[in-house]
Amino acid sequence: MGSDIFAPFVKHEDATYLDAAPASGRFAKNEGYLLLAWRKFRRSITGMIGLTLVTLLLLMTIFADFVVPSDPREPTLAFAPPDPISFFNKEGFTLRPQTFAVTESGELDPVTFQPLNSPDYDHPRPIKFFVHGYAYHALGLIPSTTHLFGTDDGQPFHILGTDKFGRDIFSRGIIGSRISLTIALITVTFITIVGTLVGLTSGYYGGVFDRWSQRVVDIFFALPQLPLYLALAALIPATAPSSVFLAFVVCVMAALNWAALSREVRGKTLALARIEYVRAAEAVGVTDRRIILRHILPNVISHVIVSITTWIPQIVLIESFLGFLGFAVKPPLISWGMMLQDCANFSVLGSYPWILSPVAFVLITVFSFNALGDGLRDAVDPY
Amino acid sequence: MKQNDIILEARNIKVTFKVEGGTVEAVKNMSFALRKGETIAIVGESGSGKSVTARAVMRLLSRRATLGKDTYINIGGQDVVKLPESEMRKLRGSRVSMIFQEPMTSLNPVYTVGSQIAEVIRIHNKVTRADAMAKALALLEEVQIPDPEARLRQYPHQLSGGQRQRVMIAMALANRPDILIADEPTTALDVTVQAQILNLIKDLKAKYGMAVILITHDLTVVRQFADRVYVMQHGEVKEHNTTAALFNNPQHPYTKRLMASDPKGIAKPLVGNPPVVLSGKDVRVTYTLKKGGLFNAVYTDLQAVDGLSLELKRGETLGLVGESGSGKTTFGQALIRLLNPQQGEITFDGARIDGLKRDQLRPFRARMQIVFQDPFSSMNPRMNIRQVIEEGLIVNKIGTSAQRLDAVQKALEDAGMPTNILTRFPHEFSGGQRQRIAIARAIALEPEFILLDEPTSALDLSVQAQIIELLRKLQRERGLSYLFISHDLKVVRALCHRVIVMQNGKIVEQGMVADVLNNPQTEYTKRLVSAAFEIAA
Repeated sequence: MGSDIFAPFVKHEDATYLDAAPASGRFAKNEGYLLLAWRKFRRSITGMIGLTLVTLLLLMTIFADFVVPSDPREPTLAFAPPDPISFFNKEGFTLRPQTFAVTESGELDPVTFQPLNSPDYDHPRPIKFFVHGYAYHALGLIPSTTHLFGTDDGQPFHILGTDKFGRDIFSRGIIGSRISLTIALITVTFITIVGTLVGLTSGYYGGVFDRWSQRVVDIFFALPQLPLYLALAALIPATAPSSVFLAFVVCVMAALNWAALSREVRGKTLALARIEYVRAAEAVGVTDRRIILRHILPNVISHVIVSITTWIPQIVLIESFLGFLGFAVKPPLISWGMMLQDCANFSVLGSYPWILSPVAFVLITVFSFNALGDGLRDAVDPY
Repeated sequence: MKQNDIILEARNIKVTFKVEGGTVEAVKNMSFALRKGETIAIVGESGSGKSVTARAVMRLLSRRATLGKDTYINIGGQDVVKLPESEMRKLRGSRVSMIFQEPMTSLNPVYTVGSQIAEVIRIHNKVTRADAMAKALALLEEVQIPDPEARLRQYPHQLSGGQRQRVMIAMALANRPDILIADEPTTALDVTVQAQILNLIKDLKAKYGMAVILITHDLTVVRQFADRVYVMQHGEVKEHNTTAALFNNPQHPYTKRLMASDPKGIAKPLVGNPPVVLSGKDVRVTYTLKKGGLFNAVYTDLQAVDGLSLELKRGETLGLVGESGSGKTTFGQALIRLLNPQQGEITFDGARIDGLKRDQLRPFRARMQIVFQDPFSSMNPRMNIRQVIEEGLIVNKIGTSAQRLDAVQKALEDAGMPTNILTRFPHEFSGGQRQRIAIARAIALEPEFILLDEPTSALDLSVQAQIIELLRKLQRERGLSYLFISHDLKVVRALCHRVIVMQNGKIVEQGMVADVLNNPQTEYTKRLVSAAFEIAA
């Protein structure tokens, strides 16, 4: 069998396949950009996890009042530890999880003679779905008292304990997501619009305009962010209404952060402005405006979307950090940053570590948006 | 034929790639053998599986690829399919070496040329660094790089494309391999350099008695250098024979079609003395290069187009020829004002267009069009075919929506594409189909003049022949004038009436195509002509 491999060889076959002229050949299935991007996105596990988490997070934020088990503004026992959830009661194991109110047990501390607190095992409070609790307006419109879950008796129930005024931390965390995420979304909207516009024009027109606008961008890059936040926050009188303060925080964060996105968009635009399909458009006489809107913007927008998913968690982080330093929205508004203000005191933190739990909300938010961005990054260029 | 002559035997190579929603058979069934000291060529168009075959032999396939279970590859008595990766690594670069198409990216930019060659030597031999460097120097001498001692300490970016490919060859030869696999070694190089590299491989092969597997799409190269040829299409061998027998008597229809796809014929002579459509007089494009820093900046002017003139008549095709960097594209784009020349008189159909602003130019835009070299970057991936072709009509406010649709369909038909593709996107088409769509975009505006910037050089040979035929047909039917920029003199001979040869921004020779190509006057043109045609002789 060894030497016949050198023998001349012709494959015999029907000549019909040659007749198919290339121009009339079969084409791949008609697939738009979104479908292609989605197929690629589906392959990324982190991306899918991120997408699921972000969706849940947004749903949770929109229906925050429904999700929370207790009224976030109602004071109860201050610094109460998380209520234990148990499957056991006096009768033994049950399938229904239940919790126990903390009451005075009637015993005294043998040394200090202070009354001792302990769970009231005689009155288990079963945890159920769709229970009645405090009244609220779903989506700000529909009056309701139904909550996703809670104790049977409609009394406060603290999964993550309470803060210094005895308010339920878990409920506050969920309600707080509304302000925190709204701040992030509004800020990112500003960043995106300004950054994309400046980046597109600067990159497309180039020349002197590009040089000067990029020097302005440099100045914004060079601004020391932290002192500026603090100085500007100090400018606002303590009596100013929350809406003013909120608007102010948004403006400052947007002003300090649009520059990075504009630099990124400019770089992409610079490359696209010299690509051949843009030259071809010039050659048929397309105006600058149309080139920017029809040829460059659609090809840049995918990258902008990716950077939005990285900017949202950044803003959430900045907000929580400013809150920790004491520059957050004022009560009665609730934000994660504001909740973290309480953590600035070491002795409080040492005794009641559960007040740190807003960190978990921030952590989950940052992780889910970053994971989403990670998946999107690979998917936006499916060609 | 003695059995032990065979140093590489491959049977039933089958490679499948995992893709979204299934698998693709890149190589279906490929068997070949290689004797000591012989050159075989694996010929095929893009996507035929020839490079994948070579990578399968080297076991350099990507992770998404799997070899078929019947695949048997024997190199010098060793069954390499079952060889562990550590043994395979010893084989690669010592007994089998490979050079790649792209010399710009296959060298590491942060190491000197010398250290990269020395590394290859030291991986496979226990020698000191100094010895390895000495050997690297000898190798560079062998591949005939001018001033090899200086090159040793240079970085890849300081070398030209041809020199880099020589360095790649030196690396491949470093351990005296029995087999050299050359995967399109000259495709990325200028024509004159191409011939030098191929001759170098041929000399070295004779000197060391290597066997060479040459992977290429270029039949002229095959005829000149190979002993035997395997023609591949759709992942299988369609025909195999000795080079002489194959070229004298091709059997398989695909082989015949490949052979027939060399551009043929000449342009039909112009009748009478038609008027001049486009003329440029003393056109000059200068780029200012800056050297040094802020305080000791030295500005030098690079004359990309150095005061050139040309005239193009109605219905005429003028070839603009030169190697890369000769300024031919810059000249062409300056003539249709896609670039702004610093100086020069440009006239289109009797009207001066050199001083016009962008909006003043718009009336002329519809009348002069351009087709680019790369069909993959010349169409916006986010626009469908109708939008791509229709855009020129919309911005020039031609017709109603229904009339524009008719015009788009007519243009597609004339370009040889079906009209049911209007809602498809560019990425769904092959290179040749895209180039047809790009031509449709150009002719939809009913222009009088089209600048063709290497429209065929990114395409397979058989597709190239079809595009040339299409361009001829359109010229016949519409009386178009072409300015045809190319480095491929064969295509120029088939398509152009006159030709201008450019070098370093200057015109070195011009005249009728037959005169210039048959009887070149300058040394440069002679070199171009011999590189293009004489390899075949």
